[in-house]
Amino acid sequence: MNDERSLLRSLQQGDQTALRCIYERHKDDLLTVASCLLVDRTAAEDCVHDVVVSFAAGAARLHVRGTLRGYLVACVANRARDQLRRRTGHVSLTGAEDDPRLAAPGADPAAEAEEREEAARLQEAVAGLPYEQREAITLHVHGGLTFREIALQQGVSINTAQSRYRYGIARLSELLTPRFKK
Amino acid sequence: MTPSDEIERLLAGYRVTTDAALDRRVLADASAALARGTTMAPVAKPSRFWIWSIIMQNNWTKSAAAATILAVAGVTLVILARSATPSYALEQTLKANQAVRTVHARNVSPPAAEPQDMWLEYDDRGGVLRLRLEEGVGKTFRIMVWAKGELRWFSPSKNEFIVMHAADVQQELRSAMELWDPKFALESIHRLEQQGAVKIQVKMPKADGEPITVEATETKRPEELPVGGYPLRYVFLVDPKSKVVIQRDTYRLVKGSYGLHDRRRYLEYYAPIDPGKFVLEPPKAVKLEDRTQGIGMAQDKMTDAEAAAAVLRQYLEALITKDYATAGRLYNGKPADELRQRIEEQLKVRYLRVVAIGKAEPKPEGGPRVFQVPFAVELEKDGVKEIAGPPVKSGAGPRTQRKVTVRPVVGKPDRWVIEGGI
Repeated sequence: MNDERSLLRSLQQGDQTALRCIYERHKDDLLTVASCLLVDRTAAEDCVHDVVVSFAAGAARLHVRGTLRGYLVACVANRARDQLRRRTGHVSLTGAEDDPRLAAPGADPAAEAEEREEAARLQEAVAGLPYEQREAITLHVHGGLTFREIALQQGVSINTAQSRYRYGIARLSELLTPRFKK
Repeated sequence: MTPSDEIERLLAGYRVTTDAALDRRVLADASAALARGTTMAPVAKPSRFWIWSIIMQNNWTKSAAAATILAVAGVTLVILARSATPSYALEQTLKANQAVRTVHARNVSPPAAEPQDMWLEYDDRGGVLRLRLEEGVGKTFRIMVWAKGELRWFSPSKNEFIVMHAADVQQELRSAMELWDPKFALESIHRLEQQGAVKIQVKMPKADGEPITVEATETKRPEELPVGGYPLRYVFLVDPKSKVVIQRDTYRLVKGSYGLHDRRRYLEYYAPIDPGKFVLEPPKAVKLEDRTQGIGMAQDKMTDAEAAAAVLRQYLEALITKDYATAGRLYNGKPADELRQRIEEQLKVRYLRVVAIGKAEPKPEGGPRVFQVPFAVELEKDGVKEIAGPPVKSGAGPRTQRKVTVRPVVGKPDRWVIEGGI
């Protein structure tokens, strides 16, 4: 935490190294959260880009309560929600992307293919959840936010946030049950 | 383990990682945003290696990084600017600097540092008119000249020559020039002393011909220092006759003692500089990257949304014909060879045809006149043809949309480029 505060102080003085350090430390978490919420790699990258740029631009006036990771994750969640609201119904070219970034290098090809298939199935199931449930799960599992923080984020009670999480997990469990019964 | 536990375990194991292209885009834009949002100079001195590597890796950051080099070259003077006092010697130095029209400075830091020579010429009002920077030795030698609104960079060993509009990096240049300006530096020192950030000690010469020594020591507490930062001390040698600074040293406090970190000598202050020093023309057969010409697509009579879609179509069509020079110019001036490597050697894909270009949507969070354009394209990878874009189920990760971000060229609102997302 002290290290984090120190980083923030340096950032507020315009220290580019601190910016780089903060980005390197949290980039994958932020992209994972954005990808789960937006279900779109390109949109997720744009979301992370915009959040980090806004964060840097406003660094001098920044007051972070709690952890920096929690703050940035919350920013990603807000931005993702805004992006989803703006999406309109015109031409949607959703589809597969041959993205080598998603593959773990050096892994056994068969196992890797299976893992990728599993990950794809899981993410598809997550994408099918109501947004509030998806957000509660993503912020808790990938963003590391507590239910209290999620409740604040969603503007609901802690119980509601917990319920959304539980319902979401239960729904995923139903959707993917055949896999576990195999 | 219950199914719910298993779900949680699976979810926790899912992770998406950034790639180098995203890292570069985010860091370049965030760095620029940070620089705009803060008024203090960077507290940490970036290594030259980092700067040059960024320049050579990413076109978008090249301009900013190239200007940053100036800051690196002059960072010692910034550091000098961190500590000063309106003492007898310093006040006289401030006054003397007002009459300075030329400076030739040399970096003579400890052996690890690269040789570095800078020639600066000021206008009548004391602003920097033009400069030349020579860095490195042998294979690392390169030259940069800023004059007449252009920044030119040449690496003889790489046979590369880059030209860019100074206006495109105006802010960075201005910041860098402020760092080089001795008047600015010393006034900053004065300010910092008033803020209690440095403590000044002036030692007058004991014998004729010896310089005046001005020692400025940072008074920051450890918790106020940047991560990994050291308390610094700056030592300036001032010529007792002309009162200009003739040497500036930076010392770092490591394990209780100050060690020399950086030394810069100001060799000439008033000597006229050969005008040829500020002329840098591309040699014959050099790999010329002229970023002042032809970057982006002309908007002509198209609306913004039409231009956004058109630049994407032109870009994809250039990729299909493997015209990487054209594609690179449309992709924010990305070097052709870098683009070819990315597509042919890293992604190993071949673009076959444009299937669809969607409607451009404004992306207000990216700035005014920034758009996102969805598209679908037929690709061939490993001998297999596929359509990337239409609504099909992904087998390799989360479902994705192919979209690119498109915007007008910085400083040229009537030309359009692809910013990223390909």
